[in-house]
Amino acid sequence: MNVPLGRPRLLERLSNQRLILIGCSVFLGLLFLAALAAPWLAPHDPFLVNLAVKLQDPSWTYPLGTDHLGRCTLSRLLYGARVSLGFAVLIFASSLLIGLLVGTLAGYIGGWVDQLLMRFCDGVMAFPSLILVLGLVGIFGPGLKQVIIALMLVQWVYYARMFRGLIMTLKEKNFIAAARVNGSSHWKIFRTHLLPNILPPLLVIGTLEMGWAIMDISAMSFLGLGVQSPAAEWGAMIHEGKSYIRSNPELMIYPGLMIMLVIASFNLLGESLSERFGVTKQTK
Amino acid sequence: MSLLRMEQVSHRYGKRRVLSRQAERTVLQDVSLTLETGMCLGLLGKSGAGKSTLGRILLGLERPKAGRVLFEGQDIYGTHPKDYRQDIQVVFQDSFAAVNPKLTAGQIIAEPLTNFTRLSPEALEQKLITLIEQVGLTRADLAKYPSAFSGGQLQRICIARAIATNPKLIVLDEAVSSLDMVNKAMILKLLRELKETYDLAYLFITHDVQAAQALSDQFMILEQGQIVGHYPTPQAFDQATDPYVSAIKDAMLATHPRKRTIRK
Repeated sequence: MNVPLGRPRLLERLSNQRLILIGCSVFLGLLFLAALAAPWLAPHDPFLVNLAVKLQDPSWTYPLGTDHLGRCTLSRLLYGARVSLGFAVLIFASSLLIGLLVGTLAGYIGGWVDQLLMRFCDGVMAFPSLILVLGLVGIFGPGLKQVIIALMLVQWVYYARMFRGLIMTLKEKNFIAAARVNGSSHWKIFRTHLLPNILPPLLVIGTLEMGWAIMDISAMSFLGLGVQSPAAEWGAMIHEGKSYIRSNPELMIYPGLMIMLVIASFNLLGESLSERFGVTKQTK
Repeated sequence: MSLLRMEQVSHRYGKRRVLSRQAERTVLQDVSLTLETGMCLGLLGKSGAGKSTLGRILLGLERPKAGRVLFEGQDIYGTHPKDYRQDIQVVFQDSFAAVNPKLTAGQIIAEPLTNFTRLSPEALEQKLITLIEQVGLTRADLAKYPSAFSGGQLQRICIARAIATNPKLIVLDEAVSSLDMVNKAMILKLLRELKETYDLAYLFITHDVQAAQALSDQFMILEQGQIVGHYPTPQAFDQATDPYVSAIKDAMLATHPRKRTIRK
């Protein structure tokens, strides 16, 4: 039933793609800027322990209060954004590149190369990705570097699968055949014919995947496998705050809220981009 | 020496997988044909007869399972496969799928030129203008994207791309089949003019007898991957009575509506 009832004005406006696109872009853009400018924006040293002011309520000196070691929560959130966003971008970019390379090779060459690469991907995809990451971190040992390598090793297969499909559909088009007849090298075909045509889906999936990357890093840090204290990171902050959930729940709420907002923004942005470009989201 | 010779070419399709062995399907069986400079060979056949596969093999896109393809005496699947690229070009049926939607008409036509020649930007632009005007479009069209053209106009752009490097042979893979009557007649006229200007050879792959007759000097019938008829002159094709030819001729409508009969 689609009866206008007067109330859903807000919902209507929320579903306005342009508004979502602009709103999420502005929010994420500001957050990236804030993360970059953290040393100037942060009111305090995020690592400075001062037990005299531990677990304080918000005040003019400490806008979001302090944690159990007297460190400024706002400063830690800002510095945490650097870690969360920075490494999410790193994981996303590197797994995207590997996936693009492998997927293009498999889709373009086909034959036994395709069979070999895709059977390997099937093997990796047979496990839930978080379990596989946990297992790999267990082998490598805890630490941010190990978590990033493990996430990269697991994430690229999803990109590879997707790019293979896209390349295979494109390869059947006659303009690829025409390009080969025209004497274009394989590299030139990839550069001028394949890449520009997979860019829109790449943008959409990339935005959606950024949310996952942030979630993965935070989850690993929360489990104590990723970022090690005293470094500031949102997942690690939730981890440290959980002992004070009854007395000072805000220690978990602030970083949790940040994670939620960022992931929601990336997902909404991805959805509205996919609507804009007419890209159907593929189920993982 | 002939321009192009296909000798006993056979081809099969079928994916050989690791676990499941799919049955292979024979597409071409011992096909031999010869093309001379300036000659148009009409290759007729029903859909699924292997016409397009034959075209792909001839273009160097699909290595045949058996047989040889000689271009000016050189095996195109031999050790130096790139030499013939400049001389054999192609025009496909679906012009929308035959051009990259992200490139302008100018970029599309320039692709073979940048691959085979070293022209200065000014010379390239001059050449592009000559080419696009030769196929009946204007220089303003060079900056437009494929979505701005109709199917017939795009087919002209594909033809401009095919003649850009002065080839000796153009494979016309159902090049007029998806066009309406008026466009078809105009494109056929353009192809005939280009053939005379450049002394081009065509391999005209089609199921449209009238279109084939408008352009071809020789005719071949392909049926289930085999050549079942070869007519070296248009007259011989007109008078042909064997069942394959009459089946194809029957499929076309008489020019005058009164002469059309309903066949069972």
